[in-house]
Amino acid sequence: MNGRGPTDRELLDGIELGPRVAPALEHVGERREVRFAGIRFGGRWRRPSGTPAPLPRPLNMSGRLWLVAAVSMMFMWLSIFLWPALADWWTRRDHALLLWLTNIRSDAATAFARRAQFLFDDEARRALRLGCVLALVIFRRWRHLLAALGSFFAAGAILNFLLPGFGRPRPFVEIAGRWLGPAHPSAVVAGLTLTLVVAGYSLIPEGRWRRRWFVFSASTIAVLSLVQMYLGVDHPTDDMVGALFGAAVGVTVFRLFVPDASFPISYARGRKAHLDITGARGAAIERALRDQLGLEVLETKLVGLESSAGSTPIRLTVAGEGGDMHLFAKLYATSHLRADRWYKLARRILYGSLEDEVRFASVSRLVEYEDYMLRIMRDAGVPSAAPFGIVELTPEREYLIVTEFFDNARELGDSEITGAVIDNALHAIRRLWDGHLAHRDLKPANVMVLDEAVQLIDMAFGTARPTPWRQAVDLANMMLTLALHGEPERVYRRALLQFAPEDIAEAFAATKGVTVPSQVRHGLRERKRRDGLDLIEEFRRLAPERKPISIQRWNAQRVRLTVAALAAAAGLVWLAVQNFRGAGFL
Amino acid sequence: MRRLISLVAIVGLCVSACGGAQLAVGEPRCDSAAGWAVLLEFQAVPSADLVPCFHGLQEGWEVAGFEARDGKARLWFNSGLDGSRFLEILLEETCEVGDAEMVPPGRDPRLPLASDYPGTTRYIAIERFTPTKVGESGFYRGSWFFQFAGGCVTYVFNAAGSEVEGLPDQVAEWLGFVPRSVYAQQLQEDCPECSTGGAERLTHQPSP
Repeated sequence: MNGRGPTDRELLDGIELGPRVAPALEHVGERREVRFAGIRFGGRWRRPSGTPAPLPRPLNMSGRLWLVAAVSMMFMWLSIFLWPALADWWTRRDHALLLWLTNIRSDAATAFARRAQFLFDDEARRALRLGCVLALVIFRRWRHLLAALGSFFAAGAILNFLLPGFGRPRPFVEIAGRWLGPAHPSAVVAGLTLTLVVAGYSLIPEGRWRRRWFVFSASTIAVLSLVQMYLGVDHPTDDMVGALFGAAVGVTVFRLFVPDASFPISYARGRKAHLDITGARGAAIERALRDQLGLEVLETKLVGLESSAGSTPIRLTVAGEGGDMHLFAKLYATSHLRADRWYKLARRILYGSLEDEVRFASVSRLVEYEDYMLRIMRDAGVPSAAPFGIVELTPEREYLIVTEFFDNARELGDSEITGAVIDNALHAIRRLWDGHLAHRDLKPANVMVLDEAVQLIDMAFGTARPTPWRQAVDLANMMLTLALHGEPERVYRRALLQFAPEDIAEAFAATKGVTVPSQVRHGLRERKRRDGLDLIEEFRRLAPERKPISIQRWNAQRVRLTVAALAAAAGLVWLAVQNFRGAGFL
Repeated sequence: MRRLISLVAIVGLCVSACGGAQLAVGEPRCDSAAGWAVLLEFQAVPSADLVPCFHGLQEGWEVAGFEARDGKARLWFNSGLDGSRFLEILLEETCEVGDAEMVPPGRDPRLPLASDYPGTTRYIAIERFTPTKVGESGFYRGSWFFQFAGGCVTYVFNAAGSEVEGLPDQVAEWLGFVPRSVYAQQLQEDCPECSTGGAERLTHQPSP
C-alpha cells in the first residue's frame, strides 16, 4: 500500500452505470439540447454563487433613504430618553432656530401663514382622506383600501401613545398659530404626510407620476412645516420627526402588505389580484426559463384568471420541434403565500382540523409541495398535467411551476357531458382513491375535457393519505360538477359502475356547504333557481340512506386561534372607537 | 344584507380612520414641578395668571380627558358614583358668568375651597341640586366661575348619582390652581435661554 488513494477518474471508471443511464449522461457537459414530448429544452445553466437571481430584489435608492431616515429617527428618540443632556441640546438648537424665525415675522406673512394652516385642520385632513378612500372604493381597490385604513388607524394609535409619552410642551416663544395637544412628534405634520403617502401608493401607478407626486408632497410638507415653525407652533424636530413618522407608517404598510410587485396600480381593465408579468418580471420570466429549463419563450400570456385566486396562471408559448408549442406556468409570490395562510387560518377557526391545514413556511415550500403533488398524481395514474419543474425568479419570494398545457381543451362546464366524459371523470376519482390521494378542489374550472378525455388540473390543494371523509367529498364534488348541466340520475347510474352505493351515500353524507367549492355552490344555486332541483338532495335521495357526517372538529388549537382572533377583532373595534372619540363622534 | 353590512362597516371604518387622532390624555397635577400638561395650559392661555390642576383624585374618580389648544384648555372627569363626565373644567381668557351669583372673598360654606387665591373673583350658578334619597339618584348641575387677571376657569357640574351632596367638598379638596410663578421657575430651571426668546407672556409674574 503506497498510501495514495484512487483518483476521481479511477473512481468514476469503477462505477457501473446502467444501460439506460449511461448513454443519457454521455457528453452531458457538451450537450446543449434535450427533447421531451416534442419540446426542445436547450442547455441549462447553473447560477454561480454571487450571480444575481433573474428577478433580484435589491434595496433601491428610496429604500436606502428610508433606512437612513428610520435609523436617524430612532437614534434621535433614543438619545432623548437615554441622555437628557442631548435632549437639552436638541431643545437649544430648536429654540435658536425658532427665535430667528419669530424675529423676522411681519403682519402680512403671519396672516398668510395662519391661513395656510388650514391644511393641517381636521376638516382638511378628513376631506383628503375621505377623497382617497372614495377613489379606492370607486376603483374597487379593496386591498389598498384596507392598507390605507390600517395605516391611518396604526398611525393614530401610535401617536396617542407617543404624544403623552414624550409630553413635550409647545415652543417657548410667542405662539401665533393654531395648535392642539403636545408638540412631539407633530401630529398634524405626521397626519398630512401619511395622507399624501397613502394617496401616492394607492392611487398613482408606480413610475414617473408617483415620483412627481412624492416630490410635490415632500415640498408641501417642508413648506407647511416652515409655516408651523414660523408661527411658533412646532419645534423643528417635532415637524421633522412627524414627517418621518407619517411617511414611515405609510411606506411600511404599503410595501409590506400591498407591494407594487404583487398589487400594481393600474387603471386598465381586468382583474387586479394577479401579478404583473410585463416589464422587469416579464423579462425575468423569459430569462429564468431559458437559463433554468432551457426553454426559448416566445410569448407569455395570462390565462384562466377568473377561476384562479391563489396564483397567477400563465400560458407560455415556446419554441418546439414542430413549431411553437404551449406550456402552462403558475407564478407564486409572497402575496399568494400570505393568502394561503389566511385561508387556512379561517378554515381552522370556522371548522377545526378537518384535514391537514398546516401553513407553508415559505414560497419555495409552497411550490415544492405543488410540484410534488403533480408528480405523485402522475405516478398514481391520475390524468393530470406533466410537471416540467420549478423555476426560481427571486429566491424565497417568487417561483414558477411549469407544466404541460392542454391545447384546445375546455373546462368541464363548457363541454358536452357525454357518457364517456362522465366515466372518465369518475375514473379520475377512482384513480385518486386507489392511489390514496385527494384533489380537494374539484370544480368545473379544474376539470379539463379534450375529445372526451378528462384531465384534472390545479393540484395545489392535493394531499396524500387523506382522511376517508375527504376522499368521499372528492367523489361528491365531481358528481355535482358533472350534474350541474345534466341529469343527476344519469351521473348516479354511471357512478355505480365504478363505486359502491355506500361510497356515494358516504360522499353526500359528508357534503356540506363548506365542502363544496364556491364555483360549484354557485352552479347549484343557479340550477335550483332555474328548475328547482337541489342536486345534493337529489343524490342523497338516489343513494342509500346514511346519517350526515359531522365536519366540525374541536381541539385546543382551534379554541386558542378563535380566542386570538376575537381578541384581535376586539382590538380593532377598540381602535375604531378611539378614533371615533378623537374625531368627536362619540 | 351582507352587502349592506359590508357597506356600513366600510363607512364606519372610513369615518373613524379619517377623523382626527385621539386626544392625548394628560394630567395637570398641582405638583411644585410643572408637568407638560400644566405647561400646555399656560401656553393655551398665555395671559392667565392661574391654571387649573388637581392635587389628587377622590376614590372612584378618573381623568377622562385633557385637551389643550390655542385659547383654551379642558379637563374632564368620570366617576363611578357621580356619573360619566360629571365635572368639566374649562380654562379660557374670558368667560361669560351670566346670572351667576358673586361669592364674597373668603371662605363660604356654599363654595368651600380649600385654599383661597388672591385676585380671584368667584361666581356660582347652581341649576339643579337634588339630594340623594333612598332608591333615587341625586343631582348636582351648575357652574362655578373663577375670574382672575388674564383668565377665567369654569367648573361645569353634571353629576347624577348617590354621592352628590359631598361633591362640592370633594372638588374643593382635590382641585386647585397653579400660579404662573411655578411655571416661570420651572422654565428658568429647564430652559434658561427660553425666557429671553419672546416668551414674555409665559414668564411674567402674577399680577398683584
